[in-house]
Amino acid sequence: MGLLNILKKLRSNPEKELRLLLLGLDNAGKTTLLKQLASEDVNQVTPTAGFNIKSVLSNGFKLNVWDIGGQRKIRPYWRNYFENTDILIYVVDCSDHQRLEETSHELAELLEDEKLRGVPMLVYANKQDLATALPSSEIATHLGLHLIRDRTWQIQACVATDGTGVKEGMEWVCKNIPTKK
Amino acid sequence: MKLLKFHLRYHPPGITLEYLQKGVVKNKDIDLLDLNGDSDIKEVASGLHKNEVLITEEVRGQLEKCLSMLKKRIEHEGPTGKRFYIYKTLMTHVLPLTNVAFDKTGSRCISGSYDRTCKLWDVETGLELKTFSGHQNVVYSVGFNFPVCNRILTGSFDKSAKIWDPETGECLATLMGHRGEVVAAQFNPKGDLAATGSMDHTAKLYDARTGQEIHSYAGHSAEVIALQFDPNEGQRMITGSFDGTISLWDTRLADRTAVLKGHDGEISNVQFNWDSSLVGSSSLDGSAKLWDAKQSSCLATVSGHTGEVLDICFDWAGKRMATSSNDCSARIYDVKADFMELAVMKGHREEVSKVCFSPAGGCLLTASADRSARVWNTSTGNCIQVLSGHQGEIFSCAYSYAGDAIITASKDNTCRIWR
Repeated sequence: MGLLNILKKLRSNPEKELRLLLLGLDNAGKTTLLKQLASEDVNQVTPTAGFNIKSVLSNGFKLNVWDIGGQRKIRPYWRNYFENTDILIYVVDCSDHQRLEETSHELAELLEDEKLRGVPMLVYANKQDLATALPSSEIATHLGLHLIRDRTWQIQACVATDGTGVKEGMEWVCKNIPTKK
Repeated sequence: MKLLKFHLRYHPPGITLEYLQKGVVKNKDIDLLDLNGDSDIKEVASGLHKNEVLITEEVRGQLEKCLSMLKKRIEHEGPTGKRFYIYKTLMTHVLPLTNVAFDKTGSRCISGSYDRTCKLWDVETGLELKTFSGHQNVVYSVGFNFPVCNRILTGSFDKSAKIWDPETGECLATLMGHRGEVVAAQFNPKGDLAATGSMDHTAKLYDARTGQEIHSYAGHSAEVIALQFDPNEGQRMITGSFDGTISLWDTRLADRTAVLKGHDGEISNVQFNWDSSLVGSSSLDGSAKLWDAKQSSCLATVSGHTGEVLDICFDWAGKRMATSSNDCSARIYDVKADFMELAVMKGHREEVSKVCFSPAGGCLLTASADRSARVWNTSTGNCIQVLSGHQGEIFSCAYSYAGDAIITASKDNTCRIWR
């Protein structure tokens, strides 16, 4: 996918083509989730220093999924990718109790951004296979999802490494696609 | 009229006669586009002597000396060219690179990045000389004002372009007005104008000194993703668009002077050849086309590729063009006589997104998603060298004017210099 393809994906999308933005802290499982969506091998995933883009066909839609690196020093650049986003997908590592506050802080900032205003959001409560993982209901409380009034949202428990719950999340995405202007 | 001096122009080969006419020093350029390793210098010299009054019998010896220097320059690069080795890895960008460019002397290069900066590098030492910060989003297109190279133009996803002073790092002007990402930007050859192409379907022309908009070029019905001034006068401009058409503009007029229609898919790049008589276009419809720039007619369509054609460029002498494709190959075509396919370069394992000729034309450089760049022999199509080492796909590449250095820019956040 060269620069030209990136420009192609940057266009205000035609009908039946959607731009999904995958965000979350480093090590949340965004790239694994992306690979799972594209039915690729999830065993060799390294930290994303920039971004990855994949196109997936789902329910008659072409989903262009942008997976953006989550390391602290590159989070200020998340805004680079906000333009023309149809659905925001926020990924949380439910076993990382220590960084729950950090991730809810980052999410709160995202939700305040003008460019993402009203964009439907799916939260993947990832790593549910780990013994220490908090259930999705508790994650929702921590993130303050119930206080969101300006967009539709959904939280979906999942295990990105084996695909559990991923499909259910994408079904919600396809049902909640905003009507295009 | 009295001849004062010969000046050599290496790429494309030519000489400039500096002469005195009624007390005024003037220049006359003579193209020697056919000069190659097999040229008979004496024959070329007599031809020039016959056709040019300024070249008198007394200066024949001097002229021949100049011509042999030019010839040596071309031979030096040779058909197999020099070998390149990794020389420096530039690692201070924190996000993927976009485009890169050398200055005329090849001593400095610039890179754009998703980290919203453009950086200026010293090629010899690999040191970062300046960071140009101020854009609010990805810096996509970068370029110097050739040949002077005392200004830098950047186009950004923040919908603006900026002009910078490479010495001080200062932003001299911000070119505003676009409502979409600026993805193409170029100075005219004089450096007094700057043009931009944008995802908002328009191109714009600005005064490079004041940053004031001169024209907003409307006419395309989709994103304008490629743009170039004619290399000579700089009064004409071409734009290529995702709407599948190419437009020609005159910098003195607000409306387009011609539209080249014929492609069935998005345009990926457009280029003038050296004397601006031809326009080459590449398209995602799988073909490349050659157009007569004056008649606005299509001269040839080449469809050798089996996939989308992603890039196109002419050699410096304007005799051949090269294309690259997502079919993993690059191809070279004759553009002077019969538009025959001259060579096919196969070996990359993924799409080839960028292609450029070495200045003397003996080699072709390609950049690919397979994380390698390759150098090819343009006559045989054989791969001379694989430049490997990048950890991510290569987005862009460039040859220095002297042909002695290559830069590659990658998604792996680094830029590499090869010498």
